Amino acid sequence: MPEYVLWDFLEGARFENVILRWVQDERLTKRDRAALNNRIRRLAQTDYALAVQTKLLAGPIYKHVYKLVIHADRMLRPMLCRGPIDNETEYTFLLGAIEINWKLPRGSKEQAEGNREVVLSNADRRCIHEDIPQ
Amino acid sequence: MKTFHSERRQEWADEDYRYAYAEDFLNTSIATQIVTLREQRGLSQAAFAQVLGTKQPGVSRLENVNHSTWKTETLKRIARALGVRLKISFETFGSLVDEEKKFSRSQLERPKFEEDPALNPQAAPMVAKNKYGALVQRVGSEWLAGFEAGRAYAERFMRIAYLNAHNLVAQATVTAPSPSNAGVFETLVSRKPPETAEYQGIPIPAKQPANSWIN
Repeated sequence: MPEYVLWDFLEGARFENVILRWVQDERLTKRDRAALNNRIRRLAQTDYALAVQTKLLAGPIYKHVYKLVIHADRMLRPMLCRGPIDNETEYTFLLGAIEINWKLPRGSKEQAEGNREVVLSNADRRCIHEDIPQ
Repeated sequence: MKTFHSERRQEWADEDYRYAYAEDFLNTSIATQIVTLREQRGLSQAAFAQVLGTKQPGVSRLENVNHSTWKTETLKRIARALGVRLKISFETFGSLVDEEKKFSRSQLERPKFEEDPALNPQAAPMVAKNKYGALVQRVGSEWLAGFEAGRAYAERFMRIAYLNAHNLVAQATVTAPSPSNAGVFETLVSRKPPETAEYQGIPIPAKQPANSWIN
C-alpha cells in the first residue's frame, strides 16, 4: 500500500523523535492530530507529482525543505525533505512548525535543512515515522 | 501482531478524533480524485475550467486538499465534466479502513462513460501483461503494445486495468490464448520487478529491454 517510506528526524543527545516531541510541546488538539495522521499517511501513498499538484506537499520552500500544509485548529506545517538517502522512495520529517499569519517561525526552515544534513552524515539520526498518538 | 483494523479501532476510539480524521480524509480524497480524473482525461486546469464554466484558479482551489467547503452542485458539475457520476453515501468507519488502503492515483482513476467496461466491453481497452511482463492493451478488436514492436505473447491475458492511450505507442500481433500458459499472468503480477510504477495495485515495469517480449 505505501509508496514511500517515511522517517522522523531524531534530535538531541537523547535521539528524541522531533515530530512526536513537537506534537507534545505544542499540545496539538485532537483535530490537529487527526489531520496530521491522515495527511502523513496519504503522503506515503501518493506519487510525488500528485502530492505537489494537490498541495498535499508544498515546496521546496528552502533548499531541500518541503512542508505539509494542514489547516486544522492551527496552521500545521511539519517540514520534511525527499530522501535524503533515496529521494525516490522516502521522505524524512525534519521539524514540526506552526505558521502564524502565514509565516513560519524564524529560522525554522534553516533548522530543518540543518537536520537534513545531519541525517545525510549520520543515518542513525532518523527512525521510521511513528504515528501521532491521538 | 496488530492488524490494520485493530490499529484503527484503537486510534479512532475517540469520537472527535475519528470524525476529524474522516473529514480530512474526505477532503484529501475528493481533491486528489479530481486531479487524477482530470489528468486521466488529458485535460489541463485551464481546459477543465472551460468545461466547468469557471476560471483556472477556481479549478486549482478544488484540487487543493485543504479545500473543505464542498457544494453538492459543484461536485455534480465536476462529475459531469469528467464523464462520471457523483456518489454520496453515508458509510461506516470500518469501510474507511478499506478506502484508506485504496488511496492512490491508480485506484482513484475511473473510465468515462464511453470507456466504461461494464457498459461497453468492446470499446473498453483491456490491459494485460504478456509472458515477459510487457503491457499489451486491447482497444476494440486490436491489441496494442506499449513497448518495442514485436509479437506479444499474451496468452494468459486478463482484464486488470484501464490505461490512457498515450501510454501505448506501437501495435503488435498477439497470439491466441492457450491453456498451456494458464497461470503465467498470476506469476507475473506477484513478482515486483525493479523500478516499477504501480497501476491498480499491480506493478508495471518502467521500461522493457529490447526483444524482451518477442516470442
